[in-house]
Amino acid sequence: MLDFSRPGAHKPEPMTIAVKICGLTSVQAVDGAADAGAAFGGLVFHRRSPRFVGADMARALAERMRGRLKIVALTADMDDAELAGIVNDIRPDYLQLHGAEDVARTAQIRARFGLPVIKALAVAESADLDAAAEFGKVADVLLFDARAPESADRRGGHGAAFDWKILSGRSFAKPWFLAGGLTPDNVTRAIQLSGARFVDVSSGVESAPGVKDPARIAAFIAATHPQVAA
Amino acid sequence: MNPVYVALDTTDLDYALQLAERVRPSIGGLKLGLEFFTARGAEGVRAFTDRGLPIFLDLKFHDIPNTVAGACRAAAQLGVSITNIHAQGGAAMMRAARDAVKGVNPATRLIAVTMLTSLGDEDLPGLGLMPPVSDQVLRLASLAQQCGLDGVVCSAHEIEPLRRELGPDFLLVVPGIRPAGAALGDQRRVMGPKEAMDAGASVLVIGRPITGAADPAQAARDIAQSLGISAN
Repeated sequence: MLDFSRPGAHKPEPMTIAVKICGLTSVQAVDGAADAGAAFGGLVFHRRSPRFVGADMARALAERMRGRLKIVALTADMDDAELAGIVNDIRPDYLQLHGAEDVARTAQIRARFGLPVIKALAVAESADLDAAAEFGKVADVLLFDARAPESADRRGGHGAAFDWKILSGRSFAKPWFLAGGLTPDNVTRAIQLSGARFVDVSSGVESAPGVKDPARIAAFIAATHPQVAA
Repeated sequence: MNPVYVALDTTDLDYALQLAERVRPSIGGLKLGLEFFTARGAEGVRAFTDRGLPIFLDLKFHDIPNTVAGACRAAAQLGVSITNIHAQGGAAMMRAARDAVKGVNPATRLIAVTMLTSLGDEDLPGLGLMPPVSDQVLRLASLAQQCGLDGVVCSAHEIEPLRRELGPDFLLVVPGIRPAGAALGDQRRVMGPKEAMDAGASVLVIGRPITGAADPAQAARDIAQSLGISAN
């Protein structure tokens, strides 16, 4: 007989954190992220990233993600033709702009493709957050990523963090992701200090650059649960 | 009063009536939704109300005020116990719907849907809405109360905050109720019957755990028993 009265299987979730696993490159990683309860999955179309996926793989992963994870296409400084190729090919739920796109270009992309846009902003200190005011008028979601090292040839996925406390008490016109250097070990504290409701992780759940580890993905998501974060 | 409404998601009238009679001693009413109504129409609903079965007509109207008021009037004339509209239709729509329903039958409960339970925080930015879902739910539920509606449909985990904010008399109708460990399907937020009632629910909508059971009558009895209710 079914036991309808057993408590505890589903606890209240007053502060559910939506997790984005970025840089998925394999079916195993997609399944690991979806099964662990991630809300978003990111496919990287930036060629210099170790997490770059080619067209065939991106299509296959997107179909695996559809309906289980919001499909985020991560791009950097692409022209309309390149963006159109991705949009038509994988039909993402969100377009992430992770390059040097300015406010006008962000607005233009949003208008041209009709998809919600996540705009990544590089953050090292509190003043860097001021850009969020203007980008918040044109993007649907902001993503605060740690500013890449001077030597870097791309903007995200370096495993570097910024001082999360600078986000505390700030309010923004749009929902925002905390990104940059998050790991299963520090994400609980990062959420507490920043007040983030959306978090983004890439290298922090990998066993080697570009290789997602399902166990680390599960540990990361478990560490964002309210009973842990409370 | 038995708070359990059984969701009949089918287009087969004979099957639905047969199932209704089997579970009748252990339930408070039946929920008929869009699938049933689109296939069987008002005649299908009357087949239940004519037998004295309390019906929650779950058609979630969402249109301009006049149109929704007309639809709600027609629903109330069918003799249903509960019917519903989308709070996202706005205050004028909700007030028009309320006046229409109460004009036919003051006992018919009109409730609002706030956010569909299939939506999560990750869906909101794409809709131009600010997460969390729970804030949107509270905002729309408060507006529904302001507009004179009798209650809202809400997910299990929204019961406690809504009960706290909206007082003891506001109906909280909770779908997605199922035993621990059952498949989630397209309902994101789920809870067991006893837990939901303890949290402050008014009506529980239960589908597959009863309709999909090998013995639906027994499943309904078990749920009633778990709530401390004996069969009629």
